[in-house]
Amino acid sequence: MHRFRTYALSAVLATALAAPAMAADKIEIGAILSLTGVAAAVGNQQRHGIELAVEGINASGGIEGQQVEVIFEDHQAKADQAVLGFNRLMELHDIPAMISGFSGPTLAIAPLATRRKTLVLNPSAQADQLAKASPYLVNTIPTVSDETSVLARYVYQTLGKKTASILYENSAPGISGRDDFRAAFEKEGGKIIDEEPIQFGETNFRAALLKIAAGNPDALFGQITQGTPQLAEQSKQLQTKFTIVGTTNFIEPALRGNQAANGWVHTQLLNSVPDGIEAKFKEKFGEDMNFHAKQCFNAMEILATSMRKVVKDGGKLDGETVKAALFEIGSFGDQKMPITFKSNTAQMGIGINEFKDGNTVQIENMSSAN
Amino acid sequence: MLALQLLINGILTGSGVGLVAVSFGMIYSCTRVFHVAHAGTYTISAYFVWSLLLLGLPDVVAIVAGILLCGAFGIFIQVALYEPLAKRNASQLVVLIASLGLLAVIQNLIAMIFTPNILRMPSTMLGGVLNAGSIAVTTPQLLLFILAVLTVAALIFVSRNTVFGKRIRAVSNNPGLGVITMLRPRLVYIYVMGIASAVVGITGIFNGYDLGLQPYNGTLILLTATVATIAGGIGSIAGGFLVAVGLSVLQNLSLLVIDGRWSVAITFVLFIVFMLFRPQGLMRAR
Repeated sequence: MHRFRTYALSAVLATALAAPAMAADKIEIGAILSLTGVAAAVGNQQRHGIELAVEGINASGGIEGQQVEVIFEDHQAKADQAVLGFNRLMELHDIPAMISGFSGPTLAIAPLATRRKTLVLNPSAQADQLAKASPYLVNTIPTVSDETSVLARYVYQTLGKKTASILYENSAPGISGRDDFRAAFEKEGGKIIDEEPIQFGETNFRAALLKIAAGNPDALFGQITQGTPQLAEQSKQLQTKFTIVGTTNFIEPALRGNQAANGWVHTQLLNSVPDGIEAKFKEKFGEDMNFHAKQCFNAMEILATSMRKVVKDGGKLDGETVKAALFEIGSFGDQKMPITFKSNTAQMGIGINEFKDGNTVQIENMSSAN
Repeated sequence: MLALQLLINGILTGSGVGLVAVSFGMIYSCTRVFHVAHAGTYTISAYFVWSLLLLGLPDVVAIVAGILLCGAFGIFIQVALYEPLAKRNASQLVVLIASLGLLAVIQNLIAMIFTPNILRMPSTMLGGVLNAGSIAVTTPQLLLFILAVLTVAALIFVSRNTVFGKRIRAVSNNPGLGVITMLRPRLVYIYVMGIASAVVGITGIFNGYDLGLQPYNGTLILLTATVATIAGGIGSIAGGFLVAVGLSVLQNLSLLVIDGRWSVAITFVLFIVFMLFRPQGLMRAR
């Protein structure tokens, strides 16, 4: 009898303790970003993009009445830290989906996502390997090869540049971009003269620029994500004669107003956020909303829309169901610049931009090769 | 011509690294603290000047004040961190970990206050470029080189020819005897931390003008500087400076014959080989 009473009491206690979790009025989502370290500038823009999206989602009723809470983990742009962050998110919160940033860290957690059947949305890393890294990894951005093929064609055919050199970040997306541009440019009939690596976060490009300039290429393909204002100024100081070209990630907001970048040509993935969001971002965080922030804002919206569908259909929120809902919906964003999914990697419009008077201006609109 | 350009670029870059090496070596040889947080002082120096420029101070005043603030920051680190640890007989490993922790705190505080973005100095006064044929040198590069040579010369002179310099060397050689002979090693450590921190501020500030400001940019330059300090002979001002310049020139010139991917690795392989044959470093401390 005594034992029975103990069991009964335990059952009542367990039910009482479990009750809040069962009736939880919030949905937890993870985000593994580079919040400190050399890539913190990009990571914090991404974080702010997610935070702004969540604010809007919760203000408009959350996901079918349940508020969204994002748990942030910092991977410092390091693969091992990303794995630790992933495990923390899964063991402590058992989240159904997460957003990640940077190629190396995202590639590191891709096998874990497969094993745990957790949906990972990658809104801004572009290494080619990400396309097939995991069935549970969905890239809401095209890989770098999509952009480099468009860029190489434009540089060779329209600009008439027959030779090029490459300055790249010695990292997964940097090396991907280097190889893709080389292949695409050579396929067009162009010749690559030189390839010079740069460490991530490095802003002294002089030695590499001197060596590249000595080869006298028609164009320089830059595959770096930080320090482009310094690259522009140092290139001008050294009076280099080549045209500098790059992809979306090559262009930083800090380049705005920099006259030294005039004449640069780059591909630009065409993403957009709803009216008023950029102004709200600037007001809230005190800086312009860059491409990465917009990508993360949109990724959060994609996730919320997919989750809403799962809940509406009476399903259980997990990686499998959210992923299925995402592909069922298929197309997100506005009609002018949609993000569509026919595979794990999104299709987006690609434009060709040129720097004029310190500002990047679209000169042509291409479509994604994906 | 490319060789000449790379040589000049190497000398100019190396002179900045040289000041970091010299100042790091001064601290290590005197206090025996492997002061990793020196990278934090390097970084914060440019942010001091950036803030002062925003307050409307002229460049020259902001630079001088920035260097002095770095000195004060170094003294603060010595008094608030290393001295209490020394009083508690903390091992060198504990002090090293404390220094690493301090570096992380400095870097993250800078990122929190100033954002992790690469900032540019809000002044164009030092934005000029001097061109001689195909050689182009920026004003901050040139000023840093001149100041580096003058600073190293001044440090060597003070170290060899003044009572203060001899006092530092005496304490460095034998701190125990320094206590007995009333040289007050603890006070000497504070002076050395102050001077070395001000010296590293020179590189930090002018590199900030030249290459922009980043919260996490001090670690890589400290790594190269540490190598130069050891290879130059710990405690040797001229040795550390010359090796830093030599390493930088080597890294630049190596681009002529090898792929840029291997430049850093080859340079450090040469350093290892050098240390195998001359473990005491290039010069002996005086």
